[in-house]
Amino acid sequence: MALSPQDAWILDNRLKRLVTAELVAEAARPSGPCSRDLVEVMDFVRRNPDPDKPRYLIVSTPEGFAVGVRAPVRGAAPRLRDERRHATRDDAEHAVLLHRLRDYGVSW
Amino acid sequence: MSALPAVRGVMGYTDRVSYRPGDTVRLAVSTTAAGWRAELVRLRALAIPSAGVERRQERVGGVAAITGDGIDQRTVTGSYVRVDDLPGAGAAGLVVALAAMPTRPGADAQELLAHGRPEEGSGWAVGLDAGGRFTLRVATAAGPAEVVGPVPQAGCWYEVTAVIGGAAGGELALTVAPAGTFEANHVVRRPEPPATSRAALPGAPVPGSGPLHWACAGTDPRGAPVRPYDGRIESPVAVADATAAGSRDELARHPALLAHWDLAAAIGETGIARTALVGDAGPRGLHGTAVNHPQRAVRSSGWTGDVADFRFSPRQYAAVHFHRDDMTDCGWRFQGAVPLPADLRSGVYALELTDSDGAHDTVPVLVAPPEGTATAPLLLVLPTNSYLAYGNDHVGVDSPRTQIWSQMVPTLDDFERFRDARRELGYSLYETHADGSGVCYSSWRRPLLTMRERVYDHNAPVWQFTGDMQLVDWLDRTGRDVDVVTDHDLHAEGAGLLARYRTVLTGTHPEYPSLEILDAYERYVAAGGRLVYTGGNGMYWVTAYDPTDDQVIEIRRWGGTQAWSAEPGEYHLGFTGRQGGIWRFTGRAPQKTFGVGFVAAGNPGSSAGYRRVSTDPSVAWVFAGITGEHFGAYGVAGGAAGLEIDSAAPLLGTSPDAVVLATSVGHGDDMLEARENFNMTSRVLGGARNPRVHADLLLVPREGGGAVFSTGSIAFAGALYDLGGRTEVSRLLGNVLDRFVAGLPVLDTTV
Repeated sequence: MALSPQDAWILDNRLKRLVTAELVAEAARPSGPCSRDLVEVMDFVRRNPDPDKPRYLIVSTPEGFAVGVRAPVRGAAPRLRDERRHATRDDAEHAVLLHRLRDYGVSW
Repeated sequence: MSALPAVRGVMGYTDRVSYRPGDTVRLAVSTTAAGWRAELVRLRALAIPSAGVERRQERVGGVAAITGDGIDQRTVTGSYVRVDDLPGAGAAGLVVALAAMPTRPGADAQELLAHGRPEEGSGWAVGLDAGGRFTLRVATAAGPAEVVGPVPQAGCWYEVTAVIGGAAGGELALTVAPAGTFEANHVVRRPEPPATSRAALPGAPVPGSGPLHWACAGTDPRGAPVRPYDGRIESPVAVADATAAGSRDELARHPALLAHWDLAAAIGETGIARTALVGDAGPRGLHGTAVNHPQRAVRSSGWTGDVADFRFSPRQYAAVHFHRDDMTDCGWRFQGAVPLPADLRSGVYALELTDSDGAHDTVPVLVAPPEGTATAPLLLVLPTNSYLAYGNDHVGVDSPRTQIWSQMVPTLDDFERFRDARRELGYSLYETHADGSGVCYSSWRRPLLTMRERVYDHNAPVWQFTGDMQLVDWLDRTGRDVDVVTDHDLHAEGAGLLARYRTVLTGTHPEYPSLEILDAYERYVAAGGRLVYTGGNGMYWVTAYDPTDDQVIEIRRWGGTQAWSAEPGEYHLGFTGRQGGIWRFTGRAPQKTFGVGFVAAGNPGSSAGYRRVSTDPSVAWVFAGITGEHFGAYGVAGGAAGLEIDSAAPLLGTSPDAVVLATSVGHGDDMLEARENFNMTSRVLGGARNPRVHADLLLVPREGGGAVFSTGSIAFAGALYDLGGRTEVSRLLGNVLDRFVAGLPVLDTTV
């Protein structure tokens, strides 16, 4: 399964135009109100519009926060996306956003 | 990508929802360690790291710790029916007929009815093969025989008739005929005639022995159903004569009738009174026992759409829906017993469990006062039905939608990874089965790992039990004696239980009351009782207890803000027959008793504080010591008005006598209006621009000195902490409790 025709249109005609270096920098800030553009981008990638794309989660490990990928089967062990460990949960959250943008072919 | 190793741990559950002093708590434990130890502690507070709240507990003196050998206890899932004593097919052969509605054909081999194991040399089975085709398999003296039918359309009904001759050379036939009304079937199919597959038996049939099973081939040595089935079965008939012919009704009148499990016959005026009984209307009384609560009160093939209450047309609801992931009883071995002291104070306790590998679990033990007594002026009713509803939910991990809701990627620590891997412990009422149907039963007979301090919830830092512990903590810190009971106690005892107290508090999210619970609250305040509704989105879903097992509850979701929708015509609860959905649509909107009702839900970032709006001097006592107009814009969940909030609504029954004391202002756009409150689609749902999105702090004077004080917010309890020196919310609740307990008039006419 891939993106629906509607989501493909949204990705090409809205999302890709919204994602800029400034918006990604805004997303890296750990807290505070988000711009409408960032909310739209976040909402799009978080709802996992392409079910074949990885569904990310964050795993708390003794060495720090890791980006994980949910298993396709409910309850099966998640896998770690890479060996990187992030010092804070917010850093890992931002790393997930970057992975998601790349998964959908969005550049900035 | 690298795989994560499995997390080992220990977990347990107790044998009851609620205990009294002097009772014995039985404990079931599962661990891979060599042994375990448990000691009874009193829980006074659970930790909330994000708010700097620390856990407070103390060991209960005079109660010895208990120990046990470690058992890696296994939980089996899957509902089925077992029928003992069905005779094997004799020399005259056998006809078996049923209607079936498979929901996952092709998802592994499945059995509809099986007597014995043809593949092991005896008996017969009607089922679906791994490719989804209907099959009839029979063991014969010359080896197994099989005939194969068509692949069914998922969600559609079929009449299935199996004929098994009595001797070698006899007929083996499987007839599959599309069935079901337009309304009962999920999709429209092309008209097709019945399809019959025939073969000659290569040898004499080898009769089945042991029990007949519905929805599986039997159970393995661990008790797990073999080849479990997802879908519905309607009133099977078995006739000991292979020449018998006709409809199932005609077969049920055949002189060689073996059994006719008439599922319509179980339906009475109060629903299905014996939920585990599958009655046989035939001459032998071959009644079956249902295991793990397959869903009853579901539409069968003849549903016409002109009735939505199964009690008024049982023959249109003569079916059972099986799921291979149903689970309402872990069935673990209970190893330990902890006698509670006869003088134990009512409160929230726990068995602090440690295994020999160092893993921990904290198993809550809720202790009511001695029967017929009150040992404090205050009573806190812990909403155990709501704990059940959310029990073991994995929505935060499974549903991408919740990441939008919470604006967070879920974070799993070791405990959450352990919990996530324990799917065999059954679902919450917020999830769906593998075939997409909503989960409508939840059971206490399992570890409820959502009632643990470290649980991750996508809604808020604390939720349900952990949220209610904020009230327990505050009552304890402010020196207020309180008794604790559960929804289960209140359901059983009614208003008489409440009448023993000067003031009664609810939990933070008492969302799932039974009719008896709602009745108890209303009768209490109508008779002069004083009630503090310390929550939000309360008294919302129509909930019922299994009439034969009060540790299991049922709901049907429709008409509310909901995780799934009941199938058409399946809005009534099997346990009682009452209309399910939200209480509002049965004439019991929460506004009638509590003054407020659900209006919006949002994440902590959309919470807000209250603005005082009442200048009526007769209620000024509520605000004694609070100087500002605005208060409560702080708390564990971002504000005292948050997460799920309620407002007054005269159109839904808020009394004209009610006084709105304060109302929340300043919500964010992530606080979204509940769907049942706006009739048309809307551009303006979020709290930043939608004035209907607010919580009302409200006082309802009732007859005889009774009163209801409602906070209209789940997050209210999270603002009772002294966070940054702000104490208005704590002071306000203290004012209310003190005046309520003192018995002073709720409207102060002396000022």
